Amino acid sequence: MMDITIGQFFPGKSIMHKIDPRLKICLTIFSIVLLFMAQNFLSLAVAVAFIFIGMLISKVPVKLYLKSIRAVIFIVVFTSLLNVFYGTGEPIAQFWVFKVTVNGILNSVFISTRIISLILASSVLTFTTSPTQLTDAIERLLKPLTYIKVPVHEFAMIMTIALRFVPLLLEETDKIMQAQKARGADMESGGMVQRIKAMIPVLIPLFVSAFRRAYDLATAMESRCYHGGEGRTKMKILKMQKSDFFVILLVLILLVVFLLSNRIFPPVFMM
Amino acid sequence: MAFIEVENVHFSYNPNEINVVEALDGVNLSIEQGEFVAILGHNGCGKSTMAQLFNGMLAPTAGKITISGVLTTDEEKQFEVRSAVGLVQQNPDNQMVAGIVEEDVAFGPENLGVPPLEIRQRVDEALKTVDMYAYRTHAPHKLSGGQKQRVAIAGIIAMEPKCIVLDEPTAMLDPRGRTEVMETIQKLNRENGITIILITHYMDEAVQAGRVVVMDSGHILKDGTPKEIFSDVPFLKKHDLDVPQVTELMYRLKGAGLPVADMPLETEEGLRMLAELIQ
Repeated sequence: MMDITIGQFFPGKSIMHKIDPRLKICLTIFSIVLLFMAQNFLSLAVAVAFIFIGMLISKVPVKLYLKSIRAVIFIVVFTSLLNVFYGTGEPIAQFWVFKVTVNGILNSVFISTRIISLILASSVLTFTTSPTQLTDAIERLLKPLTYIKVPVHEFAMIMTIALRFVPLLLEETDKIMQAQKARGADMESGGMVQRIKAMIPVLIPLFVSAFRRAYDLATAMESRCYHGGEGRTKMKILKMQKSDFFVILLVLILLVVFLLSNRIFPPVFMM
Repeated sequence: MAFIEVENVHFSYNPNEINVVEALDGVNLSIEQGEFVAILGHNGCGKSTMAQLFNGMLAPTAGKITISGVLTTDEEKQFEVRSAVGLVQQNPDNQMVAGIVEEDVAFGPENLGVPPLEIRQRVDEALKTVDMYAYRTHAPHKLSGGQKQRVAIAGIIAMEPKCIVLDEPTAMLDPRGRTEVMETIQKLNRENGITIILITHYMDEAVQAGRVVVMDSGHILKDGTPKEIFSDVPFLKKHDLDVPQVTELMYRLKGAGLPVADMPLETEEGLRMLAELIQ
């Protein structure tokens, strides 16, 4: 239970770690958009190559990337199986109502590549960006929304506090569970319903303590002059480096290549 | 007028009910700049209420508190009061906002709108003062209790306060953490000239202060130097307060008819007196 790290950040000094977090978020969104805009295998390959470059320069072990794929393997297998039978054109094999077509196989390969790359792209972001950098970057990217009265600062503060208190509450859950077990609570046996019921004596003290913590935190924040985002400065200022602009240039070139390759070949994907 | 003036302050958590229970019942206290005051008392004696009154987190139901002449209840000068009087609470986990030590320390100055470069300086300096600079990029939940509490203190120092109120800062710490925190507090008072108000129920911590205020059920019972307070053993016993062990020993020796002139507070002092007695 203790090794749940939100965001799965792996500290390092690679180029990927140094890119401005705001740019990194944009790049991730950009690569996901590319994945969905890709119409043939060539342009898909360009998008995948883009993500692979990101993975390579992040210097995070490939094993960790494979681990992150494992979480979605079920979805990948399920959707690709489904797609195999939903293609159009001449069947190459047929049994009962199921028809396997060339188009179906291509579709399923296409879709699974998409899903896997999607996960890899977001992993590159979360592996190389600390949660604080991430919330900070999100706050700044969403700043324009404050003009239409979206409480962006408050949202970012909620995220910061959540990230801060998750490990604490996990630790506390562990402690309470042990305390209840020491009193003879049985949490491991019985059916689903019984086990959920067994969690109640854990959840109630957890909530009570969470509220107490919230009260203390509010006092601490107020006595440290917290009054929302207005007039607040930041110790760390995000500033785009020269290298960041270089990255943007590379990405623009890639975009052109992508758009061209999207034109050259006819789309694979037909429903 | 003293730095902190508490004038005939009453406080109640339920002032509008019929059976008003007063947590504070007419407290008068004045504290000078640079003093180290320990407020001592049992749970429920009103000492934690006092802590939150000093920086205006709570407003007195009657009477007034001024910090350098500014009323703590003055809404417009709220931030002035709160940055002049910092509050450190009992549970170190619950008073940290950010997931990285240095960012948590930066939280106060950030709220005050201090320019980024200056925040950086203040944060580094504050972390060096509490001897936690080496841990600046760590996550708070991986530190020990004493370390966390020192980071919390650094978070207050970064706001450059004139006074720090500590509400039982060592209650949740192990003996080592307690020593660390007490040494930090001493240093802040001695070297940085920060006024310290230490709220505690540990006698051995109160002994380290320059002045001790004993509270019980919303009143101030006694106000004086540690020597004056802790030599008065019958008074301490009457109010169920612990007596430092060495003082207790000498008190009993005196009771047994030995010529003990003075009451020692520290073990070394007691040893010396015992040695003299034996000779």
